Amino acid sequence: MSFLNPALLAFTAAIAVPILIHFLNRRRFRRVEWAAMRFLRASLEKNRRRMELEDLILLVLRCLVVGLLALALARPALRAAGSLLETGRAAAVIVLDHSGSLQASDGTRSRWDLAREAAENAVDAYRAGSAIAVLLSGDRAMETLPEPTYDLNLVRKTLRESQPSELATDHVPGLAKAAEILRDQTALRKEIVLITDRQALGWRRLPDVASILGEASRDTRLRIVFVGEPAEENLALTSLTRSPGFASSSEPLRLRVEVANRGASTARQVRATLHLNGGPVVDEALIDALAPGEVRRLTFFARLPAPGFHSIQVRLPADRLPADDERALVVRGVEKVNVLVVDGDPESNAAFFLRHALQPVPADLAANYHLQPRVIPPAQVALTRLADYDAIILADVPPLVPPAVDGLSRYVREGGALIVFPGPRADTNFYNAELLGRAGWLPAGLGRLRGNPEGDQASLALEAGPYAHRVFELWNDAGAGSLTAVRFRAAYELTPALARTNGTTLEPGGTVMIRYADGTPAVVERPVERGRVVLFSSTAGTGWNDLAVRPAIVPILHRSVAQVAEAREAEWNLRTGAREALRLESDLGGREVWVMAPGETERRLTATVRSASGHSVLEFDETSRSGTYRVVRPGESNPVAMFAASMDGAESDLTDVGVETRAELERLGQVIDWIPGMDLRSVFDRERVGVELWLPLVIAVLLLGALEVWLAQAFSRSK
Amino acid sequence: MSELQREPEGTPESLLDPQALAHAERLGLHARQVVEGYLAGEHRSPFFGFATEFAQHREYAQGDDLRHLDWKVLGRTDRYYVKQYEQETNFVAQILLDGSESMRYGSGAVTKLQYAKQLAACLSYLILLQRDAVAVGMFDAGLRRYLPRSNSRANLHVIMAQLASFEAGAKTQIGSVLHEMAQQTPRKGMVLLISDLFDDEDQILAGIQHLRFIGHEVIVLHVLDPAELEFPFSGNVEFVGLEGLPPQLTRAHEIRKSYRQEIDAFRNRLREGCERNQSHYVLVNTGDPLRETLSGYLAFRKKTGRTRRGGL
Repeated sequence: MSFLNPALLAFTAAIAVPILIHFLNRRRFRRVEWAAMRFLRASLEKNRRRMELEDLILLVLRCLVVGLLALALARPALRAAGSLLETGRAAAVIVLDHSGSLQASDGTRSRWDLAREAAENAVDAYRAGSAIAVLLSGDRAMETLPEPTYDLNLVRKTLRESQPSELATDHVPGLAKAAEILRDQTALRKEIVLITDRQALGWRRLPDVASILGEASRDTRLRIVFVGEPAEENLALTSLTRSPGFASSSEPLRLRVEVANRGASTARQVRATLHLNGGPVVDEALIDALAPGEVRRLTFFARLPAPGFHSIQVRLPADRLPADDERALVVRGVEKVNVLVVDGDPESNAAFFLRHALQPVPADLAANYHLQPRVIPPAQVALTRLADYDAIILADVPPLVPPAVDGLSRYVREGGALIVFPGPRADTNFYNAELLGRAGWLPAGLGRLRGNPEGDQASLALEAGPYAHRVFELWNDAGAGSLTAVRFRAAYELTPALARTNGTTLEPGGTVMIRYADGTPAVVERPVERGRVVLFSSTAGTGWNDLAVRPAIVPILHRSVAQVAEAREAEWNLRTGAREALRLESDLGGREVWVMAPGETERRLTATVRSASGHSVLEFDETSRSGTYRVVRPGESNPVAMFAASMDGAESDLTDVGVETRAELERLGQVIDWIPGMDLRSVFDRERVGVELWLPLVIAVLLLGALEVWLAQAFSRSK
Repeated sequence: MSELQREPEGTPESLLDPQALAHAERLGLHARQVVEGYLAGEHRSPFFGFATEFAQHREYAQGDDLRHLDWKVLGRTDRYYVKQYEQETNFVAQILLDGSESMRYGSGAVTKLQYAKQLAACLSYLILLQRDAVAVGMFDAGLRRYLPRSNSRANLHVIMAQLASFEAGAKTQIGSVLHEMAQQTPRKGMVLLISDLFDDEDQILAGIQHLRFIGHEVIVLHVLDPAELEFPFSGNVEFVGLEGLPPQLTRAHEIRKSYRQEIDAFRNRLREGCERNQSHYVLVNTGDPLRETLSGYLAFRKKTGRTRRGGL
């Protein structure tokens, strides 16, 4: 039992009033001289006990009426673990989900509109003197109002001005941040109010939510306010990717699109269209029928009109969740891809085969081919401006001078692609100590040399498929031939590097791209900061294997080079909410640029380009909207760069939380299904204090009062 | 309420209400029984009495005693008339007035004692007017004053003066007073007991029985205040007993019904006791005008007397 107006409990002292009146009344009487006392006394004797009992009943009733009225004024309430502190001032964090699913509409109002209204209603639930912070939450928390403020009007204004986003839903970051904010608060009552739709996706890390609340201050309470109605139908574009390789303006670009039916009924005659740079339809596809839950993969082709940044959009007819009806992909059409081949052994044929594999065209066309290799000896590595090359191939390179190693390290870490072929001149000690150990980017350590380099007998063969890696998945199609035919006479034993911690960052280790038939690694790769390194276990030429003379070498090499370029392309295509670190032309270093958000032509965000290691990097994290972002020089309209943010495909799944999850949530906190017009204050209060008892008490007071009047009438009747 | 106004006790004139007396005189007072007496009168007497007071003439009829023929009238008018004389019996009315403290009560202008004194005065006057004898006793715990019988109208003033000066005393003992009266007045007569009878009922009825045993006709004039009959009080009232009983505080309206039942039962017991002893019980409500009380009672007496006496 707790009381909302405990001060008014003092009125229970008013119980003394009827008692006082009772005794005072007994002192107020008229004195009459009377002769017929014997009859009076006889009557009194006969009625005394009854009258005393009636007096007692009336007195008890009056005391009850007064006492219960005082109790009702104090607004008592029942709650298992409540206390008087429950009703006081609070520190609260409103976590407003603004993920993509909140844009789902019921035809008149979006879930986002409802959520914002509910959030303002939640602010009303707090008494003056409470402090409230506001977080916008998707799969990351945006601290809109990071410090709890006593200015509740500011909170309301902040909520009103909040914008929806196309972030994915994950309540863990928002709740963790909210718990962190409240940890430093001194208020006796701390509350996290999460306002979200019922999307199950947000609770996939429910144990983490439970542990966050477990680690939060003991008196922190979670309130989950669900808004919106279940979505019946939703078609979603869940993926837009392009085929591996370079996006050359001379070649048609193959695009793969996934269309998913997240609704409950079959979608028919679904038309998907492809657009280039927001222009007219350049390709389209029609899906006759798409069953509920079905995902259909479509292939589109687009030809880039010119080198440079291009935005490719795929669109579906708009439905109740427009956020997943369009997806964008930014590609950079390349005219020339510069590949630097460091030939460690001019006597071997490695450089020869590499150059021809990189330019598999007749000599007269080579000049126009998009891949432009240049071969240099190891001694020139330290003298070459490595940043001008899209990829560097080290072919059987002997130990390099430290400046060369440092240059390569910087090149890789800044986003370069590095492919390493060992060979007879490769010094395993140098590779392991310098490149793996000190520089820290070699994907694997070089072990013993297996097989006989001098013999004719092939001792190793690549594993048969299926291949998981993107470079080799081409050979999952039997029509593309088989990699098992490649013969290896000798190869180094590779020991993939383990992930390691460098300061505060975790550097990933090496992962095997393909193995030999005996299960040992054949090719290992390793992402190194923004770059990527691929380490083959055998030579690039025909020294230790016959891969160089196999047709497979061309796609393997092209894809290996391109995947690094693709990795760079990942800079331009990120998930909504991700922090963008975009490499720009070096002359922009230190200058301001404008970033135009999707669909915006006037509204721009100004960002400063940072210079780092000979590059200019634009760091930008306002990427919560999906679509194409354009980076322009101030005052200009032509973009110097583009990037696209796409909503997580899973966000389209609007499936509501199940019964079990909901039960779990109810164990963690209060779960409220908010509808417009609902007063969250009373709902919160009910949870804070349980069931209020003032109304039953007032009814009891009225009934007892009526009973008292009736009994007083009945008792005062002459008997 | 009564037209009688509460006046200072002690003025004899205040006890005689001319209207009441005049009204009551017409009706007369008829004794219920033939009593021994000294005077002959309208009442039939077992003794041959003396006619002393001329009343009226009547035309002679055959059989009339010629001694009663009025010769003077015969000489003047040549008509035969006989003289008729008012005959007074030796009727003695003993009026016993209760002067106990409880008689001091009065909710209105008059107390029960005042009313009773006026009633006694009226009755005394009427009795003397009939040339009957009247004796007046005033008592509380015992007989405090007694005016011996007298048929002289001149004595009326004494009676009035005694009544007027009579003050209420202490507790009453009606039964013992009645027994005392029975012992002191062996000659049959009429006893008029004027009291609120707030005493032991059995003792009272025993006293009445004693009087009846001697041969008295007993008339009980039960004087009660309208408040004592109706109990009109409401709210918190502390009733202070007039006869030394401890005060009682109560919500009066709540016990009204019960009180009325008690006092009605008391009256019923008394009335039934009187009827058993062939006595008359008359309720005298001091709220009623004295004239109505007297005339009502005397009309009742006349009626019952005729019924029982075959027209007399």
